Amino acid sequence: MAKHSESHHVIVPVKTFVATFSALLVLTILTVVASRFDFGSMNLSIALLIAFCKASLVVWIFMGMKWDRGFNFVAFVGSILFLIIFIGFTFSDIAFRDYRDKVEGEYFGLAHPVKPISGAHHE
Amino acid sequence: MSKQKESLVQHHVAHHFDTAEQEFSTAKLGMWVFLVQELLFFGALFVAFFVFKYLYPEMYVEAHHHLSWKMGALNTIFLITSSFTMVMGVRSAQTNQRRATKNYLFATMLLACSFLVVKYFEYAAKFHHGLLPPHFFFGEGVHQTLPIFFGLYFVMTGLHGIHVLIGIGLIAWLMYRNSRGEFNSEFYTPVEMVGLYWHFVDLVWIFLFPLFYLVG
Repeated sequence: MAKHSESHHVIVPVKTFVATFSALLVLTILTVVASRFDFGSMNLSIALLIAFCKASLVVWIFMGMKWDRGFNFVAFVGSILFLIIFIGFTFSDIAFRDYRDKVEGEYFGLAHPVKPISGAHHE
Repeated sequence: MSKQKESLVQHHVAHHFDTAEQEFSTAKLGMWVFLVQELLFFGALFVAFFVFKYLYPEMYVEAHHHLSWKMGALNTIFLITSSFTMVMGVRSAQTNQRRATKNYLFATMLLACSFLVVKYFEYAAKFHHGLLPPHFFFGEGVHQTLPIFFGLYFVMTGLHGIHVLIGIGLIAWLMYRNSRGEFNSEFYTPVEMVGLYWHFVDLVWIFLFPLFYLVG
C-alpha cells in the first residue's frame, strides 16, 4: 500500500518523456510507411501491432502506469480482458455463421441489408 | 516570485480523507475507472468497425481511399505532441513551475484546436462529396455498402472529436485554476486527472488513425 500511495511523488525525468515522444513519432512514421506497401492480409496485423506498441508507450509512460501499479493496473488490464472477450465472442459468431446458415443470394438467412452494385460479392 | 507566493491558494484535504495521499489516490482510481469505462464504450464501436470490415472487405478498401491519410497523419502528430506537452504540464505542476505549467497547458490547447481545425476541413470535404452515413449519403462509389463505413467514420471520429472539445474546456479550466496559483507539488490532482483523460483521447486516435486512414 505504501508503495502504491506514494506513487505520485515520482518526478519522471524530462528525457524519459522526450524519448517516449520521439518513439511515438517514429512509430507514427513507421505505420504510414508500412501502409504504403502491400503486405496482403498482413496489412491489418502490422498496423494493429504498431498501434499496440504506441498505445503501450502512452499508457506505460505518459499515463504513468509504470509507477502506478496496484488497483489501477488491475482495472485497466481487466477492461482489456473484457474487450478481448467481446471481440472473441462476436467473431466466433460472425466468422462461422456461413457454415450453417448460408442461403443463396442472402447472408446468414437474412436479406442482404444493402446489395452491392457490382463485383462486391464475397462468396 | 513573491507575487506568485501571495496568490497561492491553499488546498484543503476534504474531511472524509485522512491524508492528501489518500485523496489523490482515490481521485486517481476514480479517473481510471472512468477511463476503463470509456475504453469499453469505444471498444464496442471498434467491434462494430471490425464486424463490417469482415463482412465487406472490398468496400473498406474503396472507402479508405476517400480519406486523406496526410490529414490523418498530421492530426496524429498534433495529438502525440499535445500528449507530450500535457505530460510536461503535469510535471511542471509537480515541480512548482507555475509559468511552465501555463505554457505547456496553452500549447496542449493550441494543438487540440489545430486537431479540430484539420478535422473541420476533412468533415467539410466529406459533406461536400456526400460521403455521409446512411440516409444522408449522396456520394459516388462502387459499393452500395459505402455509407456504412461513413456512418462508422462519423460516429467514431465525431465522438472522439467531442472528447477533444471537452478536453479543451478542461484544459482552459486548469489554466484558470493555475493562474490562481492553486497547483503546487502538494496538490496538483486536477492537472494529473485531466492529463490522464487527455492521454486517453490520444490513445483512441492511435487506433482510429491506422484503421480508418491507412488499412484498406
